Amino acid sequence: MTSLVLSCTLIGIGLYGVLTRRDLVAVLASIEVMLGGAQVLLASYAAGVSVPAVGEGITVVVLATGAAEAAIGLALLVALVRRNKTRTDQIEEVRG
Amino acid sequence: MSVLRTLPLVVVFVPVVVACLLAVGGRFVGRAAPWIALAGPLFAIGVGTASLDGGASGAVRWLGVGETAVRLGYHVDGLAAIMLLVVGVVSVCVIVFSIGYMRGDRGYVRYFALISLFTAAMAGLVIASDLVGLFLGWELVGACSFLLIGFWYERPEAAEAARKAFMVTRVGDAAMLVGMAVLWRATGTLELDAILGGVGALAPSVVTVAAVCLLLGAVGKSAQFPLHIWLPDAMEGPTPVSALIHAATMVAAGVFLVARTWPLFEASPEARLIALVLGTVTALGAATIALPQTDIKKVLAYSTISQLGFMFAALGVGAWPVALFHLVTHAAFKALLFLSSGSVIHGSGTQDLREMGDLRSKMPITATAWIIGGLALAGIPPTAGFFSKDEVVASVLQAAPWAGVALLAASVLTGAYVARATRLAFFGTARGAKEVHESQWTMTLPLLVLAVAALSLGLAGPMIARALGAESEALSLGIAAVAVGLAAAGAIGGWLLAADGGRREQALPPAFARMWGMVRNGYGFDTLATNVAVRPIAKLARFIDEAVDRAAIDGFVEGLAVAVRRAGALLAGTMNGDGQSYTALLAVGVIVLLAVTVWLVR
Amino acid sequence: MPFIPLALGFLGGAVALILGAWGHRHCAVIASASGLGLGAVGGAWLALSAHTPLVPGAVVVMTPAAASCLVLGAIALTACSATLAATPAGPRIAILGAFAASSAALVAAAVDVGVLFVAVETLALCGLGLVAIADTDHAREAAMKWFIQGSVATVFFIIGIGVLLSRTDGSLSYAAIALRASAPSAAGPLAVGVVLVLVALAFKAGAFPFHSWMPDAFEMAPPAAVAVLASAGKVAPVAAALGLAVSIAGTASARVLPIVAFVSVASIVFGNLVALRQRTLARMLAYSAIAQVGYALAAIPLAGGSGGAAVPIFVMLYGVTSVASFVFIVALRECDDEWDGSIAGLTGLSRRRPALAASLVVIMLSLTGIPLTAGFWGKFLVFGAAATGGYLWLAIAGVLGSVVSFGYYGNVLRRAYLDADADDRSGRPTRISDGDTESSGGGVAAAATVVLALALLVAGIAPLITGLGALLPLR
Repeated sequence: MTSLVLSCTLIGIGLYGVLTRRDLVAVLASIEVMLGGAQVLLASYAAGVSVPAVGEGITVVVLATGAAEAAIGLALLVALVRRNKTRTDQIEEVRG
Repeated sequence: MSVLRTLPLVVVFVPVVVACLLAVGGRFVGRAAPWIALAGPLFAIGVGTASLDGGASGAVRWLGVGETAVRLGYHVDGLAAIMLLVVGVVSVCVIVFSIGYMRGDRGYVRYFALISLFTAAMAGLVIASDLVGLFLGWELVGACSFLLIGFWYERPEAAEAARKAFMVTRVGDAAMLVGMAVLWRATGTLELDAILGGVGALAPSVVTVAAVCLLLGAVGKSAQFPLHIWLPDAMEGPTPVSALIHAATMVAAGVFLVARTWPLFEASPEARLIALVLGTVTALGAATIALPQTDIKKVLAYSTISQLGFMFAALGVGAWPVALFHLVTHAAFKALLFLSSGSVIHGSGTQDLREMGDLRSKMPITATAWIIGGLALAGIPPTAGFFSKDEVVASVLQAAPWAGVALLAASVLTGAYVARATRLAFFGTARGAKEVHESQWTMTLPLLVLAVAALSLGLAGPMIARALGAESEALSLGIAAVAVGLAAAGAIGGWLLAADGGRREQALPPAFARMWGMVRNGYGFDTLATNVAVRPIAKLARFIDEAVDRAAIDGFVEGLAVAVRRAGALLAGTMNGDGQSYTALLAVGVIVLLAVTVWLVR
Repeated sequence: MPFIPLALGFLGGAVALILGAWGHRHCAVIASASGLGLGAVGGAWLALSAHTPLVPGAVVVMTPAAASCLVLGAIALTACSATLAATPAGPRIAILGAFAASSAALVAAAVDVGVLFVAVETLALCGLGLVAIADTDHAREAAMKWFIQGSVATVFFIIGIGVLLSRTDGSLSYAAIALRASAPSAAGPLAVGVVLVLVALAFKAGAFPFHSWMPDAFEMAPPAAVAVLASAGKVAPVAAALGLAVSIAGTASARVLPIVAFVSVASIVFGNLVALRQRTLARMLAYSAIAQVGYALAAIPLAGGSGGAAVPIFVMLYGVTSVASFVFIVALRECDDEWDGSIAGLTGLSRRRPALAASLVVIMLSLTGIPLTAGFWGKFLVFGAAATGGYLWLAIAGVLGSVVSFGYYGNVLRRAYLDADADDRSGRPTRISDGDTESSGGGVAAAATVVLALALLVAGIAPLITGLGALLPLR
């Protein structure tokens, strides 16, 4: 139950950050918070599985995928920062 | 041969494939197009020959998913086999003839693709075993006819004639659709066998309505009074097309339709009477109009209408095998006459009879062919026309003497107009300015083939009757002698009329000349139809267009379009470029969906 | 066995990676395309030869949809090979394209939510790379926005996995979910888990309201990359969603399937209406793809019945049409440097490139779903399934949407067959390239466009002759 509350809190904070922060770095950080919350939720569910190795395996895979995603996100961020674009309202040119 | 007999669908598929090939690969085919296009009609001849004493029937499943499917049935009996032979032989002749006639035309390949498509449609019409397939073919031949009349679409006359033909036959087709609907309501099927087998169980009024509606369809297609006005204009198409479609095959489809659905007409004396009256009026009326024509193709066009009237009269008295016999011989000699006229036009560069004269000496083969065709048309022994026309006149005289007398009068006029046209074109002194030459062998060879057919097909009467399962009529010598005598008298009259290269016609007393002109214009029926039917309808259409269409429908449609565009603008407003609002939309979407989910599984 | 074709696809990409690192541009492109091609052949053979019975514990089954992802990827890379080999970023596009198509195949082939997750994420990462590779400000912007939205979608996917995990005791295979969903007590939570996974798939497919990344990505990414993303990348999530829906069809959890119908109708309305306003061809195609995904989803609520056959056939036929439309863009760019990607810029195409213009006609008609083209049969089946399965309103919405869609698809054709001279009002300078039009050019992509258009015609006409049975092996 504790872990459920924790994960929901993390996801909520993260989502709020993703939707409201204007700083791209902060948005990426919020995403990581969200992902962390979801992974906590997954881990807590996986812990209840009768064969522990299965739950652990799935959790590790999801964690690894999250890491890969973070890498791509940071790479994109670097590419944008090099063009002096660090805020979300600076990337609103494509529309319609 | 047995394969052809068991797989009659090749007569549809082969020409369709050929037409597609020509349409797609036309540029690479070029001069080879006609030879490729021959494939379709050759298969038609093969299947027709193989199936004369009964062929295969079956059905193609189409668009099938599991049990349900659209079925297109086919049934090749003697009647279909005879029609296939007619279509095949005339098509072969016309295609070979067209090699020379159409040479150098910009639409050379398109022409042969259309002819091939026409053969496919005509074959489909003939072998269909249900009214759906028959109607599909019926409409397709109409479409091909439209495209071929308007083949030289740059010419406004051709485009207008094509439009007119399409519209006028559409009147008949609408009636035919109504007839099909009536039959479907009454019997629950459109299979011909089922409908015709159950005619006895239907109410007489239903049978009559259905038969009259189908008859109207036939009247439109076969250019019978009062829907005959499109055929003379259809002469704007290339002459070989006139020979194939507007003389030998498509216009005869009306006769075929009545023969195919004969049990309906057998059970409906009213429908037969209408056929008899319309046929007789057309036969006599069109024959008079043919007399003063100055355009060689117009003579033949009215002659075709008149001869189809003979067939309808025969149908009206119940002698449908006789009508079919006349259809076959007429296909031969009228195709011959049209191709001869094509050769004349090709050689002399004009189709005005007044500018011809003495072509006999320059174009001996064409002249011989024309004269044989003319003799057959007039019904002079021993040509094919003599035998079939004699049977028609004899059977009509027997059942309805007044109609028989009218047909005999039409025979007199037939002799007259054919003799007049012959003398004007081939005898007398040359009046044309152009150097005339005989046509090349690809054009004269089909003439010879058809000439042989026009001479010998009279002997095929018993065979055709057998294929149709009917008794062949014995030659009634008395009537034959009278008919030949009358035709010969008419011919002498026509010959004298054409003296001095038609100058005698121009020297007529004024009162007589005015009548002559009126008859030449088809008694002004065309103008009348334009004034009485076409103009008011056009006016009504314009009114509907302005009042209903512009104001109501356009307003509605445009309003709808505006609404759609506004909604689009509104929705596109959500795509404002702000990634965070996109994400918010996503999150809200998920939450809404989850809420719905929880509610659904509660 | 089903791994081998998938592995071949990835292997092609890996070999290309090495070759690319050594600087063999052509070889890298060829390696990617041929790896995918081999995988495609193997996959198609596996999928069409007798349906292999589901092995207990299997996580991957080679379905026709999975094989078609490999086929579509191979078509896209082969058709665009000339462009790819000619541009510096080309080999990387080919490599990422090969990985993306193989991941898409894995998405479609997965019968286990864990495998599905990995495959979807791989596909997403490759997709991000394929957009960012264009190396323009707008492309990076599009990729970043996609990344942010994608991360949120991933979060929901992970939550869904957790929920499923808690009720299936560690097994995430579709079979296990189906088994547990039969018990009424577990039906509710399992349904929530399935919906969360479906959301992630709908995001990948670009259904409303998870579509926002797609127009930017399709417009800004290199057309050759979009050819993969818009074909294999669309077939796969729809096929996976169908697989998931099939597994819970008939169970107590099946009550949630109607929500797919809501997503479907929303996508149809949104995609069609917004597509009407688009000025560039790629962006218009992206919005129309939203509508097309909506059509595909229309039969998913009927996954247990007629929808099971209709959806894969529809989405595969759409995949071919979609790949053809982007290969067309590549072909046009190859032979016309000046084209700015706008629909107005197509003016006079029929005169300059008659074959390409004719192919465009077929492609656009197929997208609209006009009879005698492949697209007609897809819509025929999907709307037919919806109409007969109790979703008549959805079928009507689909047909109305198709009518509206001719507004923008037809506009493309109107432009292409408009004379350049008559276009003075469009604001765009009249095309000057009339003189050098007959330069041979075009090459592979143009030829591929024509071939694909012919294929669409054949697939549109063949069922008329053979009956619809001809399409059924694609199930």
